[in-house]
Amino acid sequence: MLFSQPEVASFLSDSFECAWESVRPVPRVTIDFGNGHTLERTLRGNIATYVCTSDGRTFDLIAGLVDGPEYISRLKQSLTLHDFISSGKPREASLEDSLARWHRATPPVVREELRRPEGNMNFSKNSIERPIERSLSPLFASTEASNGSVLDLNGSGLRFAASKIRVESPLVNGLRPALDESGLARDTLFAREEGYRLAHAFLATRVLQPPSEMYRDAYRELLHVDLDDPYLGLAPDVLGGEPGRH
Amino acid sequence: MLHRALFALPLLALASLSFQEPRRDIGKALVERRIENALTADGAGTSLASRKVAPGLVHWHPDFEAACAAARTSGKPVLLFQLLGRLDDELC
Repeated sequence: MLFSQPEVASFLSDSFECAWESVRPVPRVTIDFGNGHTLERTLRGNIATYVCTSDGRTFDLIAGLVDGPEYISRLKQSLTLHDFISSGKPREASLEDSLARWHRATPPVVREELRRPEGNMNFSKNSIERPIERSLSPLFASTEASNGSVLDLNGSGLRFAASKIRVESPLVNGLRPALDESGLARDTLFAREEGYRLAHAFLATRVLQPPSEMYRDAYRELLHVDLDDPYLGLAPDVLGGEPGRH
Repeated sequence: MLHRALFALPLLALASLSFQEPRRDIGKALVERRIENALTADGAGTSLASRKVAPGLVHWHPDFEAACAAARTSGKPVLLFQLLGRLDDELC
């Protein structure tokens, strides 16, 4: 976990006054093994970091996951920006303009290889969560069941429906550690290549707004999470039914 | 006199009933006691999701307003970390 890394924790505690808040409960899936043991993990979780003045106005934003060293590096830029804000050089009336210009960037270009995956937009979480979501999808299960054939494994006479294996294997594969390390590297790369520019463009039109006024838009536009959707995009793919809210 | 005594008898009976212990449903208690014990046993029936943990090693203020107040004294910027779920859940 990011904040359990000593270097990250000490940097944050030394350089910022820190607070955390939950924007809504996170969906959870529970696997009950039937012997008293259960396993739980989350789906579609995501994060955003706002850097604010002491009167609660946002001047910088990091959306999504990055690794520890990248997080520190990016936040050092925020500290530089804070030094500029605190220097007294920009008059208050022109501070918003100055910050908007700073954040304004060339229009982001989405490179095909960096296109965000379906489901949780973080590569690291998606590689774990997508197999679980697919296995929960009634459409996936019914398609597989209708195409299923029977396998005879090892000549032992044990016969398993291939469709059942194809449904359940993704679920088993999803029980790997919470973060796929290679996925986190991709998330960090995406942040450097596109994510930061997207966040800057977002902030350019919302500079110095408090987080409470922008967080829903930030989650929707930068993290592709509609916080007003009670199913967080899991309907209808996973839950079935018509697209949109239920 | 006899009439008064006869009249008082039901009243006395009612009064004695009200001071008696309510009748316990022993069969129901036998079932529920085991469930209660199971729920209060260490870790039993507790999912990872409900276990609380320290949210990392960072010094966190209790909320955004408290962080802003501290920042007005220290001169540091405020960092607000937002997430779905809770940072102090073991599963977050």
